[in-house]
Amino acid sequence: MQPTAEDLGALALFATLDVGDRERLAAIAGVLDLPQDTTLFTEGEPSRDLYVVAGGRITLCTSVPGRPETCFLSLRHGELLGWSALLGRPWTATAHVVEPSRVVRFGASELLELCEMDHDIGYTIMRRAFEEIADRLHFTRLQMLDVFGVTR
Amino acid sequence: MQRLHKRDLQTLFEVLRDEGYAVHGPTVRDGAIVHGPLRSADDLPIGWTDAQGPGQYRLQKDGSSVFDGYVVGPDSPKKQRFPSHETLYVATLRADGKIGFAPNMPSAAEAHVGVRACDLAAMRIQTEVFERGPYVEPRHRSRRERSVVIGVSCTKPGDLCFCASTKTGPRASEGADLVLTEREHDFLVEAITDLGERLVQRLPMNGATEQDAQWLDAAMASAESSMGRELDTEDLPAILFGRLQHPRWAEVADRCLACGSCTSVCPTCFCSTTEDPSSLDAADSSRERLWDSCFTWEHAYIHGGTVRPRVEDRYRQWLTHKVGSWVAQFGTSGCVGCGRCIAWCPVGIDLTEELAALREGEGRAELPERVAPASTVDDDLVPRSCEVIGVTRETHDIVTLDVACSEPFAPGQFSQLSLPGIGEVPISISGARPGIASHTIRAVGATTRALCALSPGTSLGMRGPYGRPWPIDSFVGRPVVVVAGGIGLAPLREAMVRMLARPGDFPHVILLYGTRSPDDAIFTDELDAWERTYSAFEAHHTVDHATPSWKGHIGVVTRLLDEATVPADASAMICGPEIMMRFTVEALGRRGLPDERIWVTLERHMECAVGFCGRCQLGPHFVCKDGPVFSFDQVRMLFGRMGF
Repeated sequence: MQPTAEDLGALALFATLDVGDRERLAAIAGVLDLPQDTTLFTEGEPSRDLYVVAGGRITLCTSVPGRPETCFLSLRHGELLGWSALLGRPWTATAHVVEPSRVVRFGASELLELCEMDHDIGYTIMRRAFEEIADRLHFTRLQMLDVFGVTR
Repeated sequence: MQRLHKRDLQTLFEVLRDEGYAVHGPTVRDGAIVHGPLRSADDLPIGWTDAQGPGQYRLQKDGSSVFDGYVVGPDSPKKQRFPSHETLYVATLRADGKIGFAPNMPSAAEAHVGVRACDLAAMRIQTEVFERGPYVEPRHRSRRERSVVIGVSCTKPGDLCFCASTKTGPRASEGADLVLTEREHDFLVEAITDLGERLVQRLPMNGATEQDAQWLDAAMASAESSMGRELDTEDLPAILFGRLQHPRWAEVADRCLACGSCTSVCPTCFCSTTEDPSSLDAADSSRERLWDSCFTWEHAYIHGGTVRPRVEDRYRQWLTHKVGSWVAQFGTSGCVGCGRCIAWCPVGIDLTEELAALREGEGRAELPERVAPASTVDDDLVPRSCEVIGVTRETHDIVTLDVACSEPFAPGQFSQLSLPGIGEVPISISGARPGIASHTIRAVGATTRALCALSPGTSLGMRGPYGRPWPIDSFVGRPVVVVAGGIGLAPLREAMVRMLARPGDFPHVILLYGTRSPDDAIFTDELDAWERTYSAFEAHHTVDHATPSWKGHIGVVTRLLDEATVPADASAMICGPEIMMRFTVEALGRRGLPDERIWVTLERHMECAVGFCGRCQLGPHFVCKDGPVFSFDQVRMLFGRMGF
């Protein structure tokens, strides 16, 4: 199923683009409905698609030898998922679907090609992605501070 | 004005003793002039003078018969009204398991002789600290009301004096009952109060003339112009708080030993700590109050560490308080120009020099004006014995104690809970039923661990409630976003209970709750029940570290703040670790909430909870009595800033 330009407008990543640009993006996107307790992608596997969460909740987890699988972040509506695909790198985490979820999927190569062809779209998407990555870094830093722990 | 011949000064001592006063005043001891008990006028430092400079103090005997040839020593009358070590109460474990608390109150009447204008000003300032409210320290008031003060006007200021700059001298008047000014053969005597007048009636006085009055005016003018130091006091609070990153702070910290000598000799410093010594069987104990210093590491300690870890932080705290935020707190500077902190600093740091250096720079930040309390109430710092009637284990290290309590309280206030011989801690009140106040406690130190180990039927000490509550009535008609981190949910719980009971006033209450792990969450069953019961309530819980079975949000609580959870017209209440609150406030600001609609509750080291111990300061505010709940616009200037 393909999303509409209106569907994309409801997601922060595309909210500032005009209808025409969103239609071009919608043309290369697909909508996936993901059942609960499934896995969207697995750490270490090659990445090909980029996702934006359109509903539900998807949790990112990593394998640490000697420990249970460790989940460190959950993503919900409007959040970017799987940016490794934009860099052509393997997935750095496993994405578990913990609630029935909906994602908008882009083939990374098609999206990058569109961004190359139209730098205005490319700039907007990369700027939004940069904002989100900056937020993630900030949140990760707070998580590392373990602010609820007792310092001894 | 009258004259008293020097040979008749002893009569003053006899009259004071006859009136029932124990006489204290300047006397030579241990190589310094200290404020101590005097048997007669002969105990005064007759013929002694002193040489003072930065880091220097030497007594010299000049062989004269001058009473008033010295300036000031390390002591001041402060220790008479605010003793350096004092028992506040004695606690006894009774046979019935209850705790008996017996207050210790002073009863002696004291005469303070030879008090200079700077120290009279210091006594007035300490009266502002301890008696102007909203809480009044009854020990200080009792000592003040029972005392008589014989002041002395200075005719020969020292090299470190600058009371002319601080407008606290050299002429002694307000605060004294009687003022003496020494001349070659006599004292000029001015009765300031009715008590002073009564004393004069009993002394062998001679009449003074117009020339005597002119001599005094000339002597005071001469003294005023011969001060060894000068200080420009203009605009100091705004200058200091506008220059918190001035390089001078780091420079002076390189020299400062953080020894606390300056605070020990200062006649206005009022910070204190407490200790709880006990007998070996813990049946008898007491609470002892001791002078403390903002230069100690422990002064700003809250569990896990201090908010002022660097010497630079502590020096800046001392100076910004002494001549800056003191004005906002008490309507007066805390410096009286006596120069003691300069003389007794082992490395000779000169306050006047430091302030002149800080004046060279850019930046001003206005502090709020002092608002006088509308009413006052005595607080003797003595707990009442209360019974624990219920214990709920919330998590592996958090316990809720239900304590029998008839005092009314408002959500956001706190109690001081204590166990004799162990200690006292401020604990937020997390809930209430008729006759019961619930306190939710995390075991992080000796006292909280002991409190968490209590069982129903045991007793503890309780003071309070204290502090400013959440202003929930100001939120009426708006959505309310409640952001809690960890045990920070406790002081918010009762506020939510009361808002949910008034759905017409509070149509939407949204709780965003972050904990370290799912197992660290408190009140979870109750929150689930509220979501089922109240349509106005929604809750979102996130954890920093998920367990394998956790299916909820993972990530810091600020990630939950978005357009779905934070309506732009909302008011917000936040409680949690300060860094969490800082980023929550920023996120709320981005959602359009102004600082005035964001309320935070702060944690600082509190010993007394009523503004006497000086430890919980955040710039102009005492977190205990001005907070702990503040609107963010009140605390924005210093919130999250290193060293405050």
